[in-house]
Amino acid sequence: MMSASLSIHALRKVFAGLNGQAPATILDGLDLNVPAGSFVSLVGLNGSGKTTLLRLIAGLDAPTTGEIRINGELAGSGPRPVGMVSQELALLPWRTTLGNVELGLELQGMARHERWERAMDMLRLFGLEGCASQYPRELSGGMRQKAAIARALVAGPELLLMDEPFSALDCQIRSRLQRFLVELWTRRRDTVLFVTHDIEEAVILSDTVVVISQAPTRVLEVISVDMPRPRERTAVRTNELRRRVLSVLKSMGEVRR
Amino acid sequence: MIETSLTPPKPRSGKRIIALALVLAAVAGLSFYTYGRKAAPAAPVRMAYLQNDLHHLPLWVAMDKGFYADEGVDVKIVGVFRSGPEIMTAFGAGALDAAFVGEAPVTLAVARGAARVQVLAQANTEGSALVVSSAWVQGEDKERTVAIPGNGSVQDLLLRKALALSDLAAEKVKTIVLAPPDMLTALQAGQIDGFVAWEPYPSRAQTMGIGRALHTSADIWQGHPCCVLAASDDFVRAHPKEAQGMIRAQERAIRFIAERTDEAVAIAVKHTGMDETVVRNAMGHVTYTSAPSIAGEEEYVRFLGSIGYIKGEDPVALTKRILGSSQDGKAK
Amino acid sequence: MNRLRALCSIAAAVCLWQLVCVLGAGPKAALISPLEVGAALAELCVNGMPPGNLLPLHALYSLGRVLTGVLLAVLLGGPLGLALGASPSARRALSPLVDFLRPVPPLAWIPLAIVWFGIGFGSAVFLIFLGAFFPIVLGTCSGVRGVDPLLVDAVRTLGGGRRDIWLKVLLPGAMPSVLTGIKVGLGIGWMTLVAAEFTGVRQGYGLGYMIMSARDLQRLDLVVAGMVGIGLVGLALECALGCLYKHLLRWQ
Repeated sequence: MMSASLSIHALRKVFAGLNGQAPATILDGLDLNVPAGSFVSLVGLNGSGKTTLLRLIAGLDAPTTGEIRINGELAGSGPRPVGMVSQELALLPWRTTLGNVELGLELQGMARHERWERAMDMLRLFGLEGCASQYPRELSGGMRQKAAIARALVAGPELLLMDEPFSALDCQIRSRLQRFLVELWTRRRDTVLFVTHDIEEAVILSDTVVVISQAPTRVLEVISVDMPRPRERTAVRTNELRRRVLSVLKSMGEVRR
Repeated sequence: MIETSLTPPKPRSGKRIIALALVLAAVAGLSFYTYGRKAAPAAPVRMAYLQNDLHHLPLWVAMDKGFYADEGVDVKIVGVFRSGPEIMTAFGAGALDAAFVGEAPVTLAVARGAARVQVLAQANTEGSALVVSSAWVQGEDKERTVAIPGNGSVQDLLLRKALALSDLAAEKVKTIVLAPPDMLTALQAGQIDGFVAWEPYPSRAQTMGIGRALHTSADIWQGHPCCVLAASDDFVRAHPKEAQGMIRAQERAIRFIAERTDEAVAIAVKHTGMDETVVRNAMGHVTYTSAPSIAGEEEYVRFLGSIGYIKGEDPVALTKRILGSSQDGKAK
Repeated sequence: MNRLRALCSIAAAVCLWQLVCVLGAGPKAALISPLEVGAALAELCVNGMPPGNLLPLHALYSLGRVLTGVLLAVLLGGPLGLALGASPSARRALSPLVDFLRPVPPLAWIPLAIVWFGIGFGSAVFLIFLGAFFPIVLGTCSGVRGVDPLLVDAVRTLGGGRRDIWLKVLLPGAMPSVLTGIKVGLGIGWMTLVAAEFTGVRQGYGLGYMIMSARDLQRLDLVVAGMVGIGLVGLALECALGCLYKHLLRWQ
């Protein structure tokens, strides 16, 4: 498993205006540093360009100006081999769980037998081997997101980008998946950029919490989380950090009371 | 206050279906009843004929020259059809009192009980031809395709008789059913090798230079019956005087065609929109007569029985039924 | 239970129909009773219409024409639909033409069909093709357009190129709509059958030809039996497709 470092410098993204509207600046001079093997959360309210940022890093869109460097090298144009997990389901409904998970390996041209092995290993790691031949519609929401993460990881991407992956799930499943993610990451140490609007989730999961503003988005503050994992939701330190993030958002007029 | 029912409503879909079915059946029954009642013919006689069929010239002459009016009969054209069976269906639905139509569809309809009609008078005999393409060389060992307007039609019988003639006995012929206008296109494109159809199609084929008449129907079966003036039994029963008047008008029209041919040609051109040369040529092959041919019709009935298109009835009795009032005193 | 209910209501309707016929509530020629239709169906299978040409063979020839026409519509309409679905500029250019041609009923094309393809198999297949073509194009186009862009993105981030996107996302994703288009196209093609066989039937076999012969011979009972036959074969086609689709779309 490779894990790369990510550094972003002065990233700007302007979308052309449609139907005579003024162009919209979504990202305005964003700087961000994600060291290799670290878990970084981006916290911002709705309307901050979180999804746009992730799409730029993944290479699905191109920045207007600014640099994206992966492992110190300037990232080329076009989609890059990053793992991406988003809020909405992106599993291919016509493929089984196994079919979805082995998709990345298939696209890399791996031989059928080998990719079956690798995909099954990944499924076992996620506890999904029982539903390998089931279709996404037969799985619960939690299992589907697990499968999505498995699919993102199986081809060994340099980065794992996660765009509010648990926000559509109910809170019991969400806590379970958060615990699962922490365990998984502790073993593998991928570089993870995790976007969420749930401050508590960010504090529980990450090494660093980056607070961003609404569009035009820039970094407001970078807060380091110096607690050992696994972390308690109810711990004092957790609450302190949570309040700190909240105050940053409030102070910039981000949160209206 | 919001009321909530504590028990779910009972499903009543079974009862609903039955009720709906009963209502539908009642509506259907009622409409069929009113539809099928013997409609007393309104004062005008509801008449129909076949589009561009030169055999129906007596009708156009009688209309244009006022022969029906002279007899005190008000004839109104309520339909121009493309094929005989369609006219018979209209008779069966009670929508026509009289029509010019081929004797073949009349025979089939009466034999099947599909329509209660009878022949008032003949319109013509002969007037068809077996047309072959210019590429037809007799005696060649090839399978030919010859088109006929319909199974069981007079042209079907004519073709079978033609194939028994000495010069065609050796030919291998397959038939295909086509509407006469399509026959011309098909012959021109070489998709069929020949056809049997009523005038003016044979003449048109010759004028267009796409084929020649190998045999006229007069050669194949002299004096064979073709088109007739038919009327519904109800009409004849209710208006015998008008029926007789129409027969007399028919005889006048036929005399007119024989004696004042040029004027008749003009009337034919007017009603078909076809070229005068073609019309004149075609008319030369049609024998217009009002006398029905009992022997011809009997032979036709036997032919239909032999190929299984009608069953059961004695040919003589059936012929009598069909030729009805036209036989009184005028039969040949 | 539902199937039993459906069968019961059909049986009830048939009995009612027979009753109405027995009561003679209409001109004899207009109402063919279920019993007569049953007898006529038997006659079509044993004696045939025209005599000697049996119903099963008529059905086989007709099926051949329809399946050929529909297959052609899939082969030509499928790629066109894919192109229209994938390219907005193609859609802008070709939509007006498609919308212009679509409402013209196959029946109106008969004279042209005969001139272009001759009488018989060619023109019949052409008319059926026309009937099936537009639903297939439209179904394919809307299928491609309806694929969630998120799925395309997912494959792109996993390293998929254009070919992968077509083969692994767009085609499978469009499949439900494509299959629906084919089903509708097959239904319309089957309905066009009788008109298609007006162009002339060389071999003397075809359900439409059978019905027209019966009509020419004033055998209304055979006509109705022929209609029942057409309906039954059409129903069988739908069922067969339904089973196939259930398997192909088992992921839904």
